[in-house]
Amino acid sequence: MKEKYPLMTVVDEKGTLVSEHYQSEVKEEQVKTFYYNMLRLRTYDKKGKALQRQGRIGTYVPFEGQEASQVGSALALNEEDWMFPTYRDHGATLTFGADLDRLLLHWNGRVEGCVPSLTKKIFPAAIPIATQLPHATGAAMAEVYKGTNNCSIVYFGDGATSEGDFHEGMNIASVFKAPVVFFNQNNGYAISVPIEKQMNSETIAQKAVSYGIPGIRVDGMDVFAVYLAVKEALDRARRGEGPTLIEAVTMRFGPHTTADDPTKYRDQEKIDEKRERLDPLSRVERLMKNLNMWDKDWIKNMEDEIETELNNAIDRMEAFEKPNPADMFDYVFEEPTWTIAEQKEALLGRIG
Amino acid sequence: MDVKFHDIGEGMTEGEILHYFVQVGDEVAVDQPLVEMQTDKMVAEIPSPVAGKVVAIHFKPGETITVGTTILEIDDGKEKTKRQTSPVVEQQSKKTIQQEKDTKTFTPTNRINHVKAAPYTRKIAREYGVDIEQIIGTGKNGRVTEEDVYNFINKDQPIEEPVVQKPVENTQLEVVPDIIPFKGIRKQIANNLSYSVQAIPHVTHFEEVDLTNLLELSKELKASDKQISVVAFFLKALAIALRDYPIFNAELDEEKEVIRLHKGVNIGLATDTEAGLLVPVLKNISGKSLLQIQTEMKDLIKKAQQGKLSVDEMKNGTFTISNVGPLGGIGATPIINHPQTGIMAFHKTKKTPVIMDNGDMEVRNIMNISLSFDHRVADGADSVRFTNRFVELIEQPNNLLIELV
Amino acid sequence: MMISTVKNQVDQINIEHKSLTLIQGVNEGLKTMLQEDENVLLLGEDIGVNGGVFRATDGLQKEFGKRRVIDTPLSEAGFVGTAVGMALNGLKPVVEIQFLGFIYPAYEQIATHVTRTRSRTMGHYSLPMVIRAPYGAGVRSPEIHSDSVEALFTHMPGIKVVCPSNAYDAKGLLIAAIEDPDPVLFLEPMRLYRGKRMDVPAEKYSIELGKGTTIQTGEDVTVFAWGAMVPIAEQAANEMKEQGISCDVVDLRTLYPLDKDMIAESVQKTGRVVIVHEAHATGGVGSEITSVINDTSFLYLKAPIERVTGFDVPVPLFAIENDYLPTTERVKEAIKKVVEF
Repeated sequence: MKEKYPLMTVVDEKGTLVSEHYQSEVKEEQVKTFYYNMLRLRTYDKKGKALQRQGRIGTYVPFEGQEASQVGSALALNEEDWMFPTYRDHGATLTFGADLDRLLLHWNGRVEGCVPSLTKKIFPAAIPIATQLPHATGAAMAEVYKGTNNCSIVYFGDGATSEGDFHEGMNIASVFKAPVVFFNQNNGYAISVPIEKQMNSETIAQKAVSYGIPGIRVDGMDVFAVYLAVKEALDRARRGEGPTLIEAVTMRFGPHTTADDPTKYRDQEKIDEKRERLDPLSRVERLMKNLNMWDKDWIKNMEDEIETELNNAIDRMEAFEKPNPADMFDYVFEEPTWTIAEQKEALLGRIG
Repeated sequence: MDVKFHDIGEGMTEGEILHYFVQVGDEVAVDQPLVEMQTDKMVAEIPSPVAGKVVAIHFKPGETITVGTTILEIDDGKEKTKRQTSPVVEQQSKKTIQQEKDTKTFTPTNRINHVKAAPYTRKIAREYGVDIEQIIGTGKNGRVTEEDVYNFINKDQPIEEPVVQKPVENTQLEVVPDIIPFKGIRKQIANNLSYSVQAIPHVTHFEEVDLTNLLELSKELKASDKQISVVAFFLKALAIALRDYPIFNAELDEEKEVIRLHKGVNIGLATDTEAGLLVPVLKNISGKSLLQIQTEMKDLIKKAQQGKLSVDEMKNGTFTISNVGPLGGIGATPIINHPQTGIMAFHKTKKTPVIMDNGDMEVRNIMNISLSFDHRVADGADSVRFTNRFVELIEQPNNLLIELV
Repeated sequence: MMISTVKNQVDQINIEHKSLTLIQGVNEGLKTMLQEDENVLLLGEDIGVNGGVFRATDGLQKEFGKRRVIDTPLSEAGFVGTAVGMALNGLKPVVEIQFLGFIYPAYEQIATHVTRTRSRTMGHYSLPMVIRAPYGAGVRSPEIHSDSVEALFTHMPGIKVVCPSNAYDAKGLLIAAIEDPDPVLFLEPMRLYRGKRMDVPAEKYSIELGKGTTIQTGEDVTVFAWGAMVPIAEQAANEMKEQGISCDVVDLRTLYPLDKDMIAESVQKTGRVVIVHEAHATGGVGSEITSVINDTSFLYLKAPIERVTGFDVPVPLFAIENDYLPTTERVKEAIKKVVEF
């Protein structure tokens, strides 16, 4: 199956183009955009882990290792497309245009953090596994009804392919030729369960056969390959040819969440060795050096800019107005039912 | 700045210090690892939240600390680091003190339910200010019924008295009570009264009557060997007052939605007998002389006490009186004899100092009267006028002469 | 002048009516909204050419086309989830679950998204959608088809639960449900689908959600019911009249939020209560009604509240389903019990 669904790569581990065919994909501006976005995510992710250990936010979900998959896919979208992320895809949402302050608020247990971007159509992260696949299908169908050529992209992990909603969402989308890109990040583990124990199939891409749709297997550590694969799938969708399943083969370098210890279920040293070789940022760095695009001043300025952006956002998050208990009552229905109104009054009366 | 050990693993309470990456005196950068902690779930590095100099380390590797504890202190130049001789667990209990203050003692009144009663029955008792624990239930399995509450309310006893001060009542609850069969006349009385209370919105109007003049007249008549009791005068006066205010000599027919004003005045005489309360009816009072009234009344009461009343003698009353005066009491809320409109109770006559119109104080014979009436039929003002008319006739018995037919 | 006035009045009174069964009331409600609002669309299994297994959507695909009346794959979680995406993106999907007993695969979608999206986005996204489902026993359906699990949804915050008992209410409540800005679970008593006909206005009208209706007034006992239990309650109340007992029979119509005022008003009048539902007893909506009575009318109670319900057992196969279901006799006994308490 791996032969049938070969891993699509544009830039290899050494930072060289695998084929002259892709020459036009490595224009300096594009390369720098990819690198900037991945570095921004890497810095944000590290900060997230530190903030959690310092007790300044709650449980954090790191994505280190998946930057190429998230940046490549997010940058392939049009402004008006829909994004349906999971809890690990805040890198993708941040790249697409989610509000950094709100992301931080979300990690700090604030409902304000789930409020979607005002400029981009991003559904709040799915917490239950695979439930977002049918949503993406429905939103995409609604775009067709409206007569636009907007698409949905939906993110999910390798574990999600075992859920019923994975099948139901893909099936309905394929039946109705909904303009959806099913973007799977196969990072090899669903918390502790490795992919071999998750499924008997060799690849995830091959599952597309069941739905009569294209299945693409792409090197998830190669931002260029991811970008191209998603772009092509979106183009197909916009042409009315229906959904595509993309499997981006990637790695999660760290734990499942900050409450997880991966050494309990895998040899972390081996992961670190692989990381040396496979880190998606290092790959672009090598490419840039190969192409003489690596400019230390540019890097330094960019690092400072990202650092400042993050620190300012953290300051704002920590200075954000106190949480209002009324919030839990005010948005259940457009008009609160009498039970909710009474309960709100009772609580607010008690806590003054 | 105090660097604390936070709950880093969704519900951690404590962790062990594995080793420090820094020593006192070291300069550290933001997010530089300070210490490695072992928790139930994982091993974790705690990065520095600030840049600055490590000024104190409070625990040795191998020690276990609880969440919230300050591990070490960093001088970040922003605030003076508070010197603390010992690490402080941030759980000081303002809240506990607050809670203690707020706690009010629960006064254990009536902690145990002695009686069974439906919530609605309890509501009635509550509204009348009656302690339901004092009522003996006559319903299923000894349950206090709505009737029991009404009967209790209509008993002439002070109801506010708390149960603890009434050992007699208390023992009644605890020991086997004497059994009085609830049937026959007793039950009939109870049923009639209950029905009346439920069907009729009762209002009771109280008034004082000066009987001095009437008692003198009665004494004079007695001296001339013509014994006419004051009650006979009451009946005669009532007949006149009822003629003037016929709404109290009336009957509401709810089904037909009419009020019937009776032509004749037939007054029931509530009579205390061994068998219970009986109400013989003295008919057509308007057409009878005081002497006739006196004779018939004595006869009816005697029959009642001997249990010889015929059914006819207890029928067709249009108004009722209850002369409880000889037994005592200053007021009552008599229950109307359904479907009549009014009932008047006469209470004990007492010698009372009264300031007369001329300003002199005299000792007069004052009696209280209580008039209960059906508020659906008559208004409060009517009841005052009706009572005033009665009072006027009794206080100046000469007026009765004017009314003689 | 005079004549013309009179004529106008007559015109006003003579609104066009149709004599409809409950299921036709549902069909009329759907049709009205499909005509009224181009964003309304129907999704479900066999609802297109087939017109639904009960024919609730009969003729609608023919009239409104395959885009508006969509035959979905056999995929409850899938099409409820798809409806979430549609509602999120401006459409007003009305989903048919073929039988309430088949809603369980979609339960996760309802619990984690349908009911929560407005709340978790602070109102930025809302999901105006309706999930219709025939429910209940008494029509000799196969296993699972007869479930009555409204309480699984009344307990769940973020969704209104509605249950009509006649054609007029079915149309009016369904229109209100589709127009509601929030998700509504619309339960249809399949036992009454083809029961008695009723004159239903041909025009559009809606019945406010959250309001019950008193279908019979009395003084001694209040009987609460909804859906298929309403005729049972009504018949029991009628038969009790011979014994001199009169009942308020209240059809609650909306199970979340309950009509607190109507419950309190009736109970405070009668002081005696019988609650009838075919769902299992423990944790049923009857328990919630009891709580509302406790909160509003405790001191008016003359007797303990009686519940006449299905039992705490899976709805049995149809050979004994009538033993499971509340009957007029059981309701009458309960009425007698509260009166004689």
